[in-house]
Amino acid sequence: MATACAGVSVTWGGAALQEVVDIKATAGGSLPIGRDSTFALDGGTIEIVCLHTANISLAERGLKKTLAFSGGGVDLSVKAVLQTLAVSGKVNDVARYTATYKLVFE
Amino acid sequence: MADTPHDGVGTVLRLGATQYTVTNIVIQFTDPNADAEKIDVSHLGLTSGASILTQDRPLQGSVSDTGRTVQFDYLGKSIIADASTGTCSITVGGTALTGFSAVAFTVNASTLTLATNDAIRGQATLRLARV
Repeated sequence: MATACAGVSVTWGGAALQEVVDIKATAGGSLPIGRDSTFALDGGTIEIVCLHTANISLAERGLKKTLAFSGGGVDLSVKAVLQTLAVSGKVNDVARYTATYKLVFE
Repeated sequence: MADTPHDGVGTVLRLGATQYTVTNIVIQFTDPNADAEKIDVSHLGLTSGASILTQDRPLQGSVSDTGRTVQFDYLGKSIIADASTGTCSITVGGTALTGFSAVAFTVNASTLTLATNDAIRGQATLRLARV
């Protein structure tokens, strides 16, 4: 039976992101380099779309924190760097904010 | 034979003083403030069984879009002019249909069809004022 994607909470550095409407996570962006079997320049990408900017700020761009998901079948806790913050808006609708994080394997 | 209280026999449609020989009438009321017109702001934090969250759209509907229309088919040789205005009345068995006594209207669309071996038929769609 399919898992209902509801009751999901997302935190970035322990602070909750609010009104999250979409999550896309792709783990493994590039192969490990050197003799280290874990370290990779690109560990993957997580995109989170929110209706609210609470706890998402470009001031935190480049910072590495723990990005944690729980509930709704997406239990996950990873180290991630905030890369971009985008906003989209259209007439007669609400603004949507997209935060992109890069996964870090270390 | 028992009366059928809800049949359409004896239905008369008038635009102003002109009475039309109608063969079909479709009345549509759409609430411009219905939930379907709102923004769905539900999010993943809602648990299963929670109600969908909605928010009013920032813009209101067009003033001219009342959400109320009447479309009717009629027999006759004259086409009803588009954008013409007046009052519309519908009576059933001599009694005015509730809410349809001299309601202001604007003609949205009008067609007249002339076909071989058939009567000349027209069709018009009226936009009614919200009263």
